[in-house]
Amino acid sequence: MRLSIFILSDLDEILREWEAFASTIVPLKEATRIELRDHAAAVLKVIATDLLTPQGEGARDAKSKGLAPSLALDTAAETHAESRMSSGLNGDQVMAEFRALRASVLRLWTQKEPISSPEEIEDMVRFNEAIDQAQTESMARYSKLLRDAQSMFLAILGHDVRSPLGAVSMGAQVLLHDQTLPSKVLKVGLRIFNSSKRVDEIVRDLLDFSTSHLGDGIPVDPYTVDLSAVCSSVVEEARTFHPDRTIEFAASGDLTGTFDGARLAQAFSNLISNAIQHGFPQTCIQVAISGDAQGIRFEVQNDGEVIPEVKLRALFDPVKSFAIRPPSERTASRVQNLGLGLYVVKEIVKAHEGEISVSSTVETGVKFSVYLPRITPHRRVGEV
Amino acid sequence: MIMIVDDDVAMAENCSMYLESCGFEVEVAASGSEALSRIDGHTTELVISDCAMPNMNGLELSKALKAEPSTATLPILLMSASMRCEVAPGLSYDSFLRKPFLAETLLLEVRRLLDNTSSNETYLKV
Repeated sequence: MRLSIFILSDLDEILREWEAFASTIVPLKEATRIELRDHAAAVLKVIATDLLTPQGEGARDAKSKGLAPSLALDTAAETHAESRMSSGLNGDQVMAEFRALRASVLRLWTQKEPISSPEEIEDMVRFNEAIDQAQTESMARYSKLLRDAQSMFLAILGHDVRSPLGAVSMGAQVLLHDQTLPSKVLKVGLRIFNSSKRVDEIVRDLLDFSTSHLGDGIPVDPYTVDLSAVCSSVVEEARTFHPDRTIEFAASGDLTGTFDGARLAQAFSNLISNAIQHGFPQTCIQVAISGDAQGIRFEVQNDGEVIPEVKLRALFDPVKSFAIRPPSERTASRVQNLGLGLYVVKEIVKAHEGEISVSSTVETGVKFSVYLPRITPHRRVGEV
Repeated sequence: MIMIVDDDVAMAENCSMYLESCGFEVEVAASGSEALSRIDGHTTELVISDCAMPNMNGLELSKALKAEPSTATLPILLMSASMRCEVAPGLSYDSFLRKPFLAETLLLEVRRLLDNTSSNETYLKV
């Protein structure tokens, strides 16, 4: 018997097996029969119809890789993923359902009568390809829903942290604005303000790290901007918050171009903060920006301990950077900074189709160099 | 008079204290609907409103003010703790600040928005 005929004629028996398997999955223990069967009938009918349609080599290859074009707005497999996510199934459990479906259909079919003809063997191959396609569609939808949910969660978390932080920061600035207050109060006000600023930076870097890891990269919104002014403002701010440090700044050439000024200010700020944090306290930090017809180069140099080659290679990847630490240095008390800021810098530069490099020697100290070409990156307005 | 609208009372009052210390007359409302009932086209010179508020949010307040002839030209500064671009240019507000922001930036924006109005003498305390 051809497989498509079997699926359509014995659909109820196949669905009973699917139902029996689905009911063993913990989140579906209390589910009704309709909920257990969900979109299985639709998935199987699509597969049976597909088996009746002639198929070329190209279509076979695409299907086995889960790349077959979909004619429907939402396939049954995609809708099934949404429904199962709502019921609380994890990705592995959704995959297991498809594995069980594959096993049930093939077992029930071969029990009916032994397969022997070349057409039946061809049916089996095509059925496996169709299940692969359905499984891929389902998992792609499941992953997208998960990414969207995580992205939304992070956006709300960011908002919820920044709201009270705004009040703390403004409260500290109200104190700092009143010069009649005792110097002790003003000192505390400055500390509260600086700490709130640091928390804001950490939240921003954490959100950028998380969203770019969810696959979206860091969004940039380019417009015509003078990077000399952007850079100068970042340096001034660093000088204000760190009056004990010397920061020299030099700008030259044409520094106007199409860039995301706010994002680059964030990148420049992160690099300068890094130099302040890791540079020797009594030494000067050199910041330079220069432009020519091809692009813009931004450099930050500080005197500091030489960074070993193995650490340099992982400097822009906080996860790798953490992983190469000896186990004794992986505790929260030993790790004072995850290096999210440098990761964010790298992603912002990447979004501008630029390059970033770092060198560290006794003679030249630690030097970060960013190159931004004068091309307009794809406009991607911020999502989170 | 500047009306600050925020359901986060601490934020609203801190902004109010800062602007008062800079010489402005300021009032605070804890919700969009409360602000709407207290704002009038004669005494209110500028509205500073948070975006995310229950019942009537900042954008809804802004739209309501722009739709009413007596308050249609009132400058509106929205503020939000969200990074999401839920406030896009072209909507019914005049400026936007993301929380937390520098008090100095707030002051510059307030001055800029008020300078654009014709009767900027009236809101300054003498």
